[in-house]
Parts: sequence; structure tokens; C-alpha cells
Amino acid sequence: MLYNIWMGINIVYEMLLPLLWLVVLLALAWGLTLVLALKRAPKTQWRRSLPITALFGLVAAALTFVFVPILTHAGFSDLYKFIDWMFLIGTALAIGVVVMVATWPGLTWLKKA
Amino acid sequence: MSHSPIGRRTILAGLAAAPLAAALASAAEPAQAQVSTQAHIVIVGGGTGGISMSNRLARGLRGARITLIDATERHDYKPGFPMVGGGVWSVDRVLMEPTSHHLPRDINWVKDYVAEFDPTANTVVTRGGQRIRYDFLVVATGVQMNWGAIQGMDVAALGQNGLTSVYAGAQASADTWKLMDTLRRTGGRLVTSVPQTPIRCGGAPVIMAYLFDDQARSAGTRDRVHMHYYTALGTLLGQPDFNRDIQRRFGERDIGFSFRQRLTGIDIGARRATFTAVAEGGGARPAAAGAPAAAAGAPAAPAGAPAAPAGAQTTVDYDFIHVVPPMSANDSVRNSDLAWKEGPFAGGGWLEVNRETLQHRRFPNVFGIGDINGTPRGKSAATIKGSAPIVAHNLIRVIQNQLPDQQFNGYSSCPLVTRVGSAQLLEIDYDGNLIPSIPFVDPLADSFFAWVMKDRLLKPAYVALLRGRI
Repeated sequence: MLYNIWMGINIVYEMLLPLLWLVVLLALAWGLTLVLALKRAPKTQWRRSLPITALFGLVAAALTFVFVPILTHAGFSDLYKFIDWMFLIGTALAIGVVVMVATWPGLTWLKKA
Repeated sequence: MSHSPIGRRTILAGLAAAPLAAALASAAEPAQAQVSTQAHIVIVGGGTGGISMSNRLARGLRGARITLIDATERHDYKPGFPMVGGGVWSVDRVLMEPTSHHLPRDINWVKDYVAEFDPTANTVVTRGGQRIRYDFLVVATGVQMNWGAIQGMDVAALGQNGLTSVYAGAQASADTWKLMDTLRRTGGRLVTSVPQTPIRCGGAPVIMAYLFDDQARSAGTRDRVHMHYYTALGTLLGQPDFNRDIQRRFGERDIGFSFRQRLTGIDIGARRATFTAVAEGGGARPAAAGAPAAAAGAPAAPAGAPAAPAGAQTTVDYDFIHVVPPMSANDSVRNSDLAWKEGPFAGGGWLEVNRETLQHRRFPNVFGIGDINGTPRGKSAATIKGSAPIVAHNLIRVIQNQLPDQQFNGYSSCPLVTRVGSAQLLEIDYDGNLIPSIPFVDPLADSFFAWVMKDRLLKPAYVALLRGRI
């Protein structure tokens, strides 16, 4: 199981490598929003921005759920088994969590105290 | 206004994650400290196995001199060729960076081919006449396509007159789709041929048949495309469960098939193929019961009919033929003392290795990786993924004057695409046992997950394999 996780990490790494410039740019932007939010936002502001952050994550997850089959030349009728649905739902959830983590500092900083 | 600095909880969470990250990083194989050696290791072949081994050995050894011998400066992503030929991928998706992009620093790359192996003298000789002496040798020469075994065959003619093969490279795969796309609009007779020899990626001819069928159905013209699959073997795939399943699917999808029919000649201009019946222990095996009736000009034996006598020739007219060439070891290995001298692998000149340790059975300082190995199964990228860490580990032990102690079970895998959007995940060992590595996956079931693996995930995994990380 650990080997499969390691292989998964390597797959994601190799998929992102051609877009390294974009990943770095987004990471820097995220770092900046994190620093700004930590300096200026009280704890209550972080909590208050959670609902909107969750909404962003939910939208990202929903779009992933719909578009992954389309982008892979497939359709929902091609999902037969438990593993197929778990893979698609798991991928959508993972993207949703990434989007939430990525947007939480920025949304916190933008939210008025 | 109060600030919210990074709290202790955050720091503690990060510290807790660090051991997990370390565990994952070492999950691929047991951690092995670098071994100091002055040994000269020669790797012959700069394909998947050769590049992977060069990276693994460069990381596992300190002070060693590693020489890679191959004239090819770029090799493409071959597992993707059926996806190109089947009209799913554009050809650019199988093109890879130059080999130099994947090799470790400080490797000595000799851009030539090996013409001769002299394992008694621990020497290889290149076509350019260079004699290179080694302490340890890794043979990674892959397979040789023997197009000349088919009388009348002309590789340069692929992509025209209905003649196709995804085994001839990226462009030939793209031309395969171009011709298939035309055929599915006009209709016609589509023939596939599979040789008697072991082949690279044994599932690819079946994948092509499935994709040809599916693409014709998508175009609404399947009733005008008559398909027949000729194999020189007695099965459609060596694994018994999959063999039965493929026969069932071929029957359901009106893909006729004939066993023990070897493509021995082709008239490209006339679009006519000659098949010769192959004996199996004194008698040809009859066509499988339930095989659909053949179209005119495609003489599949109907169910229950006696098989054609061995040596009997049949000519078949076609509009489109997908040719899988007979394959063998490279002539330089075949003609050397490294090849099997007797037994089932001798005819192909395959490398004589111990099937578990992948060490040569007579020359202990020689190892084999990939398609060149004379082992019961496994001419696939997945086999290299499974065996490369074992070969590297065992070779490093031999360098330290120790015996190999890791064993390979013959793992081979193929996402067998059944149609666009669906695949089966075939994973087997040397004995043909199904050994699924992912829980909840029924190997025989159509799977979107297996399809996504083939369509999106395996090429990045392949690059990680080249780099020796998985």
C-alpha cells in the first residue's frame, strides 16, 4: 500500500513538472496571502471565512467530478464498479481540499473583520 | 487588533508529518546505503530498462564507472502506441524528451550499437569497432522486430495500401489510425495478424482489435467492417481467464478469430495476406467453438470443423491489415554465448537468466533487464518496473562478492483497453496467476479506473520509472 502511495506521489510530481513555473508562481502567491492573512487577520476572521472557503472547495470538487470523465474520453456510463466511483470521488475530494487550502488565506485576508 | 502567529499546533502537525514523509520516501524498497566500488559497469541498451538501471546504479554506487551503449538518442513512449493507433491519442503524447534528459550525470554514453558480446573476455564490441571491457554487464537490448520473416513485407510501405502496425513506431501508429479512420467510413475487411514468437506487450494486438471495433461502432459503420483476428498461437492471450474472456468478447462483438495461423507472406499492392497453418504437437488446434462465421475471403474454420493441416496455406484478401511482426532477441545477443542454448527460449536467442534473480546462469557478472530476458512471461514496461529494483539490488550484492538475495515473481501488467473509456487491469506472475495489486479491482471487469490509468497516469509513472524512483 505504501508503495502505491509513493507511486501516486511520483505520478502527481511528473504530471506537475511541465507546469513547474505555474506551480511555483501559485505557491508564491499562496505564501504571500498566507503571510498577509497571518499578520492582519485575527483568529475569528479565519473561522468566519471557512464557509466561503468550503464553498470554493465544493465547487472545485463538483467540477472535477464532472470533467474528469469528459477529459479522459469517458462518461458516467463507464463507471461500473466501487473502485471506479471511489477513484472519481476521491480525486474530486482531493482537488476540493487543495482548493480550500489554497484559497483560505486569501479569502481570510479579503474578509472584513 | 491581535495577531495570529503560526501556533504550536501547526508546528507539531508539521513535525508529525515528517516521519510519514520519510516512510513514504523509503516505501519503494528497503533503504540501501551507497556501496563504494571502482567497478566498471556496462549497460547495453538505452531503452526503458537501460535508462532505469543507469539511474538506480548511479544512486546505489559510489565511485563506479557506468557506461551506457546505445546509438538511439530518443526513444518514445511505446506503451502509448496502441492509443495512437486506435485514434485515442495524438502522436505528440507518445513523444519523449531525448535520452540525455533522463540519464544520470557522469554517465559515459557510447552512442553506438553493440555488435558482439564476448562474456568470457568480459568484453563487448561495438559496430564502430570499439572494444569495451567491463567488470559487470547489464543487457537491456529489448526485442528485435523480424519483419523479414514475412515474405513481401516492406516496413517503408507501412501507412499505405491498408498496411499498418503500431509496432513500427510513433509515426506508423499515427498512420494506423489514419487508415483505420478511412476504413470505418468506407467499410471493408480488417485483418489482424499475431506471430508465434513472444512479443513486446502481448495485450497490444487485442487492444487494437477492441479499439478498431469500438471506433467503427462510434462511427455507426461497424456492420460494414468485417474483422478477423489471426494468431499463430493457440490462445488469444496466455492467461487462461483472460483468454476465455477475450474469446467471449470477440464473439459478442463479431470479431472472428483463427488459431494457429501464421502470417508468412503479404502482397502489399494486391492487399493479400498468406497464412500458414502451424502445428501444435502434431496437430493444428481447431478454431474456437462459437467463433462467428467468417466473411468471404477470410477462411476461419467454423466451430467443430477440423483444423487446417500444418503447413497448409490460405490467402486472405484485406482492405486493412494490422501486422504484428515476429520478434526475437537482438542478433548480437542471439549469436553470442549469452543466449539460451537449449530449451523453449533458445529459438529466439533470449538471454539465459535465472528467472528469479535475473542473473545470467553461466556468467555471474551479467544481468538482464526487460524484454531481452528469456523468462516465461513479461515483455512490458510493468515487468521492468517490477524487476529493476531487484536487478539493481542483486547486481550491487554481486559487486560486493555476495549472492543475489531478492527474487522476481515475473510480474507483468497491461491495462487491456476494451473500448474508449474502459479497460481491464491484467496483472500476472510467471505462472499466469492473476495477482491484482490494488484491492477491490476485479481484473476481468471493465473499469473506468483502469482506463484513466492507461490514459493519464501510466506515462508519468513511466517517466518516474526511467528516473529509477519507482
